[in-house]
Amino acid sequence: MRRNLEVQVEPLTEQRWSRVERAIFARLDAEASGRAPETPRTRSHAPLAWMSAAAAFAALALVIFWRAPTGAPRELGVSPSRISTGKNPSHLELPGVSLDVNPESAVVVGGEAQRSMLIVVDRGEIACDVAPRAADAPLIVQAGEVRVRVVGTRFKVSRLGESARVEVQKGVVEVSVAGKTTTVGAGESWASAKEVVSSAPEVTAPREPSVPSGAMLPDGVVVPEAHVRRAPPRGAVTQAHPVTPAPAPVVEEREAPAAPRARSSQDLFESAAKVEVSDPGRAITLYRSIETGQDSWAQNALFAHARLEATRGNKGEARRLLLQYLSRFPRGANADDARAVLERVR
Amino acid sequence: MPREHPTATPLHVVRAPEDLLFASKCVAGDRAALRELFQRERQRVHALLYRVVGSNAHIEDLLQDTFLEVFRSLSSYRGEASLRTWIDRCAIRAAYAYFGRKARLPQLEPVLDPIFKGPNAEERASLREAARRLYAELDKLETKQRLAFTLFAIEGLPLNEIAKMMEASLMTTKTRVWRARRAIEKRARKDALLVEFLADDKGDEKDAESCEET
Repeated sequence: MRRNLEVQVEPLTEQRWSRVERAIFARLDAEASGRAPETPRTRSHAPLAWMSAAAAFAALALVIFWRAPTGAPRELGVSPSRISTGKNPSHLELPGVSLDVNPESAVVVGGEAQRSMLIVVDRGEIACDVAPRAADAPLIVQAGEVRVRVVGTRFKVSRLGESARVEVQKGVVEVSVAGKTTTVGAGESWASAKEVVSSAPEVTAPREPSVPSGAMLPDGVVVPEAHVRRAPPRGAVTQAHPVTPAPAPVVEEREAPAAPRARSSQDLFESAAKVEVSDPGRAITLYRSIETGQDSWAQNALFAHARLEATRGNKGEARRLLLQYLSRFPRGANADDARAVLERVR
Repeated sequence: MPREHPTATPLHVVRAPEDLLFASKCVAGDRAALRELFQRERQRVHALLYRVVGSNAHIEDLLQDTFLEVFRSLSSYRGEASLRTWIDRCAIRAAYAYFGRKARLPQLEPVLDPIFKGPNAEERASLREAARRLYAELDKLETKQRLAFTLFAIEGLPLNEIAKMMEASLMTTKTRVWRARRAIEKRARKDALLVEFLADDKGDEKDAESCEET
């Protein structure tokens, strides 16, 4: 007997069904009366219409989930919900989970409060404060290939493209990627391949640090041993048979150790600029560590990264970064330059 | 002298007389019948289209395309197959046209919706990620191969049914499925999660593999 590949279908909301039905019958009516349809199709060949639809969806999401900074947080059930933010952050109160969704972010939340919950970070950054949960009812945060398993802690997960970063403020989380699991404790950070931890140690580490043997890091991630502690010897866990439940709740409410003082974005940017010629790979790594932020150094780093890629002849990557820059900072200080470089690399 | 047939009109075998009767109401412009047909079939058509395209990103347009095609073409329905099968063919045509114009659509990052069934969030996360990777690979395939593969391996339709839906021969359909699987498995070789996900579909490979010689 053949088994099918299991692809679960996400149901459409009644609102979407109503929109589809209205559009269909409006077109039938229009065709019957021999005039142009009054209700435009949701599909449009014009990007403007698509953007309008996306904006409408985002607005709907914000209307449903956004609260004003001074307002009371909304209580949500845990039916599947998609939350996307624009310029303003959003705060959600889920059963046992306080969730901050930073600007320009998109997440999907679902699961069952009493069993397990899943938060998928499609882009941007979230911060979670998770009340202690039963070990068999963990909260899972997925950001690309990176998965964070938690039973009670406070932490941040940020995602840009396929890379992700996890910063733990309190408690312990398990991070899985490429079938391997590591434990990240309070005051520690973890970054995936295309990221770099922004706290001090990696900057003071040798310029070409090798991947520490204990850290579960794919593709040459720059995270020093001191920064990510080894997971207790539970054995490697594959993604197909994900993290085995911990024998007891991993709620280490220990005091956060004194976190190493993070170098400022400006310091990192200047370090990157200095090594652009002598060590462009290192410069790119440093730029990447800055460009996910929202401050002016993030703008500078993103543009500098794009320019460097263009200089190195990586036109595709340069285009991607420049488009990202113009999308995130359309009025940024380097917006005109970005457009000019974009023209050159087309 | 050859015997003359009384009429040149081909005979149709009506296998679904009730469907034919219902369709005739729709063709006559019975708006209630049209709405009933939409309500009755919408979930099933949505599931079929979702499994073919892999997300709800453009699904509203696809559903519109499909049902408009259905409503406009119902007069050609002869009851030779069930109305469901006939509607599925319309859906596949709509999907085929969608892939043709997809390159012109604004490209958003494909976002597969999380899977909320089942007891385990980790399993759901794994399945979701595996499905995301699978659809990323499917995006690289030629459209007919992709359609044949998704209908066979994900939707679970038999090959002869797929052949009819795609108006192709059985052998051509088998070949498309086999080539699609070979291409995906080749690209997925270094991806343990995807390999394991695809392994769920090993049960009845023989049909498709038998086409390797073709």
